[in-house]
Amino acid sequence: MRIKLLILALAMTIQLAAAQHLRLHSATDGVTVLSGGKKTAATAGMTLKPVDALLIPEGGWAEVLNTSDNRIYKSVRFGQISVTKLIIEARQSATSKIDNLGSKLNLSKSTSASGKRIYKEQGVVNRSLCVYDPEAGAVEMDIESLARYVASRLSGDTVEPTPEGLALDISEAGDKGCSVRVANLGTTPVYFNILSFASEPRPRVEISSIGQPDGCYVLLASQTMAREQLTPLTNDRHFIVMTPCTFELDRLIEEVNRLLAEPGAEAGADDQLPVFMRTF
Amino acid sequence: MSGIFSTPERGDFRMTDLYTQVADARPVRQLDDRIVIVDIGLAGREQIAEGLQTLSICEPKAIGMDINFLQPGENDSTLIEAILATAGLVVPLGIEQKGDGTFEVADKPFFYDAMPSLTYGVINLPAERENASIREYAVDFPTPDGQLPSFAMAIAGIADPEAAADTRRRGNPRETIDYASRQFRTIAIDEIADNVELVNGRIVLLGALTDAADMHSTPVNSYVSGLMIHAYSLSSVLDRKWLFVIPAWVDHVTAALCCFVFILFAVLCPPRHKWRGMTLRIFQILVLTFAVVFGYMQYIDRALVFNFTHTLLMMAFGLFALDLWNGVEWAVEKLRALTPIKLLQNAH
Repeated sequence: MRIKLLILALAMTIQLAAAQHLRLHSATDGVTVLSGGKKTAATAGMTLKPVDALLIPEGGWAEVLNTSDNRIYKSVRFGQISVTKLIIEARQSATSKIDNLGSKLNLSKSTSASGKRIYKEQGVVNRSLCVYDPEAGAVEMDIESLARYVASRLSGDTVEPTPEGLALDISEAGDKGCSVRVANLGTTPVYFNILSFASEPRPRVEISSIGQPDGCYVLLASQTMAREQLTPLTNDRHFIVMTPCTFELDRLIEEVNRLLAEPGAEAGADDQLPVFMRTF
Repeated sequence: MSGIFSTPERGDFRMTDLYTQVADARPVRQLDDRIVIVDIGLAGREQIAEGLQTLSICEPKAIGMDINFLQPGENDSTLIEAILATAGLVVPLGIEQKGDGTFEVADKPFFYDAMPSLTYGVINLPAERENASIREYAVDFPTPDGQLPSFAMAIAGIADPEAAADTRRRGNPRETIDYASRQFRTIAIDEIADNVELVNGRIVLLGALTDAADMHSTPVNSYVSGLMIHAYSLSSVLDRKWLFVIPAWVDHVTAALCCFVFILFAVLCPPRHKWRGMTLRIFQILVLTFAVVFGYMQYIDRALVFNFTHTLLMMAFGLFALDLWNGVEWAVEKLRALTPIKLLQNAH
């Protein structure tokens, strides 16, 4: 009996000692930690116990740092998983060379409709843009996610509240044209363009005559821009699309038109995408 | 394969890039806490000088300052004092290559001539051509006045002289950087005082992580700061992680043997055999798979680099030549079947 108690105490001590060494290194938004029956949002640096569970949404991931050997273990699947299981699965996956190669050499088309990516690296880096915006100059919005978002909001008039740090003034004067003034009062650059939507002969999106056909408008912090047309605008509706980094306009238009041609294809748009849209 | 694993615009690919990318995608990474990166962001000289003073108090093992003050500022006294008072500091130098293969100092800090006793390290990163991936770090740069160490080697010379000496003993002018599955702690310059325990006894790399003019392509990421590349290089030196590249003649011999066996099989296999084409293709895929899997295993387990590029290319061309030959044979047979040729043969 005494030996059993001793072993139990030893195991608990080891558990406790090990627990001190586990921290959440990083996690995507939406990851929560279930510890002692309580659910809390995952924050980098929080201490974890081996029995704690991580609730990882689809498309998300979490990394656990073991400070005793400074190894970072990344989750290999989503769902509910204990910290211990996460570490074991990560180790198994890392040591399986065939799995490593298989995951990298997967040439099948991704069929996910949920739009897991928001940003991705640009294939060709625009050095001027990187000088302009060192933080976001080398990334671009994931076109599939952005297009799904835009297509899902074209069905009706989109009047989202203007985000904090942004001032938008659109004045339409019928036959006398239209003027758009944007002021970036925030601390980070914004990228935007103005597109138009026509419903006849078929629903389609095009560049607006007051849009920027080559790239995006970019406004650094504390900058404003005004664009005006003195003649009436063509097409039914126009809308501003604003993002925190650049996006490929032609590909966006192409992808949105493809989604508009397939009713229901825009389903699964990510409502949390950092995009602002306003129609006029 | 190069199109999959490198941006087509660069056309810049090696087999080790494939292995590095696969290894880097593993779900277990090593946080290398021997090295801490301090990002200066948009800090000016005063703030950098303050940062150096704070770092000095934290007693790191060595400090590599990847900030080249080419021109004097209005009031550099604080900066100069901080540089002189910081023990174990390595400051950067830029060099240019001369026609005879040696180098000469090109971009030097404004205090270079006045403070020759400081430890200088060359921050130039070797690449095959402009905008190519940075895969290697230089050990030393030969100059008319002697050898100049690279930035990583200069820092290693202070933090771990044995590791630097072991690297030099190999006698190679450059060594491969190990990018896979490693990460470094990064703090901002104004967070040093709050992270003394992270800096004490560690190697600190001080510089800008978001300077667009100092961004380079690597096998795992197409946009990495020079400072981060120096961190990877230094980590590779400290780990004594060297790759042994299998000599090119092994690749050529393997290519010739595989191609010979492959074509021999194709020739011996009856042309009319219904499974011939499929068998050849399956054999080709098996060789490709073996090359990739075997090469990756050797890279990870034994730090051996097998380059099967020529083998794969020769097999592809061999198959193409075989298809061409089969096509010619088929065309000749068809021509022979035509009546005028039959009459000509009968006449003979």
